[in-house]
Amino acid sequence: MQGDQTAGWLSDYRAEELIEAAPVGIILTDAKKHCLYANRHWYRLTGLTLDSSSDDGWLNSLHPDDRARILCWAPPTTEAKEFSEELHFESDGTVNIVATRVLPLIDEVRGISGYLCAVTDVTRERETEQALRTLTHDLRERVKELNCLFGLSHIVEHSGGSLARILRDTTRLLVASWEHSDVACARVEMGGLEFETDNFIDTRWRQRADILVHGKPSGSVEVGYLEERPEQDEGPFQTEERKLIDAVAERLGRVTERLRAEQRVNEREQELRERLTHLTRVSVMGEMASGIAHEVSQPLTAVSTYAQACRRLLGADMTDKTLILDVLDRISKEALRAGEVLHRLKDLIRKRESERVICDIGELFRGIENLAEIDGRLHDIRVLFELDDALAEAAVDEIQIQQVILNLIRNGIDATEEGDPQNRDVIVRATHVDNDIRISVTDHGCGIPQDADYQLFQPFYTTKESGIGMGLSISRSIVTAHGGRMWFTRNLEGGTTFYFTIPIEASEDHVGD
Amino acid sequence: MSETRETVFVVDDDSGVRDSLELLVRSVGLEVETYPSALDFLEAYNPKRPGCLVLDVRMPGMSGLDLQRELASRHSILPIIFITAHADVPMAVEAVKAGAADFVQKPFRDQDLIDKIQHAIEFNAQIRKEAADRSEIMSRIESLTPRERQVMDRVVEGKANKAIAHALELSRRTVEIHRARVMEKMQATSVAQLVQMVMSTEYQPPDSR
Repeated sequence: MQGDQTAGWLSDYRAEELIEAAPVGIILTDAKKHCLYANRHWYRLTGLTLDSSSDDGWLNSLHPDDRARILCWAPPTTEAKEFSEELHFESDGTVNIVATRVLPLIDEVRGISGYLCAVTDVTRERETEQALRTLTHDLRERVKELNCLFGLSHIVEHSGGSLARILRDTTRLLVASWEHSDVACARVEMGGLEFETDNFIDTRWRQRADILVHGKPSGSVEVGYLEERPEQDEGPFQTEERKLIDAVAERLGRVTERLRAEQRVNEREQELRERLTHLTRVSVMGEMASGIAHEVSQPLTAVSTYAQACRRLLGADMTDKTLILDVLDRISKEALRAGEVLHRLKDLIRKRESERVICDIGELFRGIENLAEIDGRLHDIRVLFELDDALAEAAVDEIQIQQVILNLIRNGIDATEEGDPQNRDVIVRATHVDNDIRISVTDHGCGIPQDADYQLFQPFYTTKESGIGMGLSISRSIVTAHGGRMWFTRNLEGGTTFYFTIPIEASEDHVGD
Repeated sequence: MSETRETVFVVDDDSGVRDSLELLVRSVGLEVETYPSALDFLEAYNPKRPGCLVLDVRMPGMSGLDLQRELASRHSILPIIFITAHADVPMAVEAVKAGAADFVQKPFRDQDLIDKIQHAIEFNAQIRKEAADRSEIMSRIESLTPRERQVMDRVVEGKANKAIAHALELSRRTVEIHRARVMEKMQATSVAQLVQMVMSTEYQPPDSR
C-alpha cells in the first residue's frame, strides 16, 4: 500500500529532475572516472562548469594528491563497497573542500562499470578547524614565552647569586622557548662572560638583543636557527619572539645591576666581618695574655739562670767542659720553647683573609692545646683534651676554628674562676656524630643565667668586665659559615657545656663558587 | 742526708727553671734539692734540716702560698724566698706579710738570688741557734728544785735576799745558799745575765704571792 503511494508521488517527478534538485552534489562516472553526469549542486560545490567538468576535466581541477588517489580507485570487483574521500577542488584561486561518498557501480559482466559520488561542502568546517589549529599554535607559542620569562625568574632565584650560572642556564631556556626549538641555538655574552649552547654557530637566521647595564651596552642575547624555516614577521621569527628576546635582555640587565650591587655589599660585609673576627681573636688573646706572658717568662728565666750559672762555673775555673756544653744545650732548648709559644701566638693574632683548606682536625687541636693549658694553669685550672682517635679531615679555616675553641675554653676558665667549684677541670671533647665532628667544651663553673639564653649569642653581650661581648656571636657566625651549628646545655652537676659541629662532607660545598 | 748541713730546697713546677736554679745554687757551693710540686716537698720535709726554701708562687695544685700556710701551721722556721712573675707582685707582698723571708722577680739577677739565699740561710742558722739556746736554758730551769725556782723567780723580779727570806719564810742564810745554787745551775755570772736568760725563754714564773 505504502509502495503504491510512494510510486504515486514519484510519478509526478522525472528521476532526472529529482537528482538535479537533490541538496547534495552528485556525479556519475564511468570506470575510467570520466564524468557521465553531474547535477547542479555538484557544480556549485566544486566551482566547476559543465565544460571544465566533462570527461576527465573535473579530475584536472583536483589537488594533485587527490587526483592521484582517485586514479587508483580499485575496489573489489565482486562486491561494491561504499567509501569516503575528502577532495580539494581548485578553481580561480579558491579551494573548495568536499566530503565525498563513493559508491562503485558493479556490472555483472564487466565488473566495475562506474562510480556514483555524492558530495557535501566541508570548506567552512575545514577552515574553522584550521583557524583553531593556528590559534592553538599561537597560544602554545605565547605559553612558551611566558614559560621562558617565568623560567628566567626561577633561574635567577636559584642561582645563588652567581651571574655565570644565570647566563649559562638562560641559553638553554632560550632554545626551548623559540618556535623551532629543534634547530635553535643560543648565546649570551655579558661583561667578559660568554655562554652558548653546544650547537651554537653563526647562522644567517638569527635574532639579537643588547643587554644594557645602567644604560650602557654590556652584552647581548642571541638566538639563531641552524636551518631555514618559513618566513615570518622577522625572518623566520615571530614578532612575539622579538618581544621575548628584548624582555630577556632587559631582565638580564637588571639582574646584573642587582647582583653587582649585592656583591659590593657582600664584599664590604665580608671585609667588616673579617676585621671583627680578627679583633675578637686578638681580644681573646688579650684575655690570655697574662698566662702567655707567664709561659714565656718561664723559659726566659731558665735561660738567664743557666747563663749566669755557666758564668760562675767558668769564673770558678771549672774545667768540666761537658757540663758547660750540656748547660748550653739546655739554654737553647729553653729559648726555643719560648720562641714556640710566641710563634703560635703570632699565628693566631696575624691578620689574614679567611681561607678554607682540607685539614686534619686532630692537628688543628694540637696547635692550641699548649696555649689552652697555659691559660688554664695560670688560673689553677686543668684543661683536658679528650679527642677521638683519627678525627676526620674537613675543609675549614683552621685559625677561625681554633679561635672558636679557644674562645669557648676561655669562657670555661672564666666561669670556673667565677664559680670557684670543687671541680676545676675544663674538658674539651671532639667526637664523630653522623657526618659531623662534634666539639664540646664543658666547665663546672658559675653557669649561665636562666634569662640569658637569647642574649648569649648576641653581639656585645658580656658578663665579663674586660670582654667586648663579641666572642660567642663571632664564634657562632664562624661555625654557621662552616655549615655547622652551635648550642649549649646546662650541666646537671653545674656549669655549662658548649657544643658546635663541623660537617665533614658539606663543608666542601662552601669551598667553590 | 745530713741534718746539720744547710740545704737550699727548690720547689718549682717548671723543669727548666728548677734545673737552672739547681745549677746556679750548686755553682756557689751550696747543697740543693729540687721538687716539682709542693706536695713532693711536704712528703720529704724534715723540720730539723737547716737551710732555706726557694718557692714558686704560682703552681698547679698546691700553690706556693698554700705551702707557706701549711708550713706555718707546722711551726716551721724554714725561711722562704718566693719567686714571682712580674704580674704576681701583689701575691708576693701577701707572702711577705705572711712571714716570707723575701722574694725575687723573674727573671732575676743571680747575685740577688744568691745573696738572698745566703742571707736566709744565715738567718735560719741564727734562729736555730737562738732556739737551741732557749731550749738549753729551759732545761737548766727544769733542773732547779721547786724551792730554788721560787728563789730564782724572786731574784729575777729584783727582790733582795731579805725580802725573799721573809716572803718564803726562810732564813737569810738559806736563801743565800739557794741563790748560789741557782746561779751555778743556770751558769749565770751575774743577776743581769740570769734575768736576760730567763726573759729569752717562754718561761712563766708561777704566781709569786
